[in-house]
Amino acid sequence: MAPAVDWMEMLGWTKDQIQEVRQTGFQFFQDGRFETARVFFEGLAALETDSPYDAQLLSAIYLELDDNEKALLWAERALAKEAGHLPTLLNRAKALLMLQRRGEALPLLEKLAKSADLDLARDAQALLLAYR
Amino acid sequence: MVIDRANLPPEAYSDYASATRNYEENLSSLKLPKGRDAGPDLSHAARAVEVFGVEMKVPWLTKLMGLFQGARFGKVDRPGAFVKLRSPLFLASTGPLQKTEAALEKVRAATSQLGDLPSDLQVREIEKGQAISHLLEEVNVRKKMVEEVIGTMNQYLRG
Repeated sequence: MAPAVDWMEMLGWTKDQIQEVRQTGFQFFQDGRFETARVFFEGLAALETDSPYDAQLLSAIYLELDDNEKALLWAERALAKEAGHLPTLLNRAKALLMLQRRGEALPLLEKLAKSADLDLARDAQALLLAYR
Repeated sequence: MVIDRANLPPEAYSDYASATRNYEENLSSLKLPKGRDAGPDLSHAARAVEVFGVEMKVPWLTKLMGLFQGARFGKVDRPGAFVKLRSPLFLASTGPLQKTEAALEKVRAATSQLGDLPSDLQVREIEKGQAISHLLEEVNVRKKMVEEVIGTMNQYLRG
């Protein structure tokens, strides 16, 4: 469904400006300033660009902020745009574990533990060891 | 902001001392005119570090100083001149992002004029408008702080 308001057109921002804002927001994320990063990426997500990145990062930010309901919500939104994104699948599993939904998290972690991405596979294996 | 050595934790002091030493060495190698090498003024660098939301670490300070020195000699865009500064500087210097206050007004006006929409859609658009407003406010705050840093830097560079 088309948005009721075309916020991008209203702002007059191009992809370059969006990218600059995204990079700045990511710097705050990297520096551990998750609340500031959240403001950046909530705004970017509201602009409804095609990029799944903002939703992916919001999932990670909300995990850091211990808001697991929102972490799960944004992980699912991100996965609706890019289903196989492994870090987001791992974030989804983490949020499910925090929400005491082990029955959904463990099968997902078992799949991720076999991933070709060894770092991610190790994280999944560690979570399985801790929670199974 | 002026660094008050007395209030710095030991590890920060160590960073500060090291950065000061590096800075002095760099100044010496650049052979700046007399008067400029009397002692480093790190207040602008410290302010910038605060603005850009990073911890005070030697690499940041030394890179900032590299940028200031680059600017002093008209070489701000030299390779290696502080990639992380690019985005905040961009926010302050170019493009539609400069017009954050005007954009904020437009977004607020649009958010208050959603009366004709069905209520669920109205709620969704109001939430979006608020998220975008918060983003613009944050960009605006950062932009003003960066402008302040650039002003201080220019003052310093003009000597």
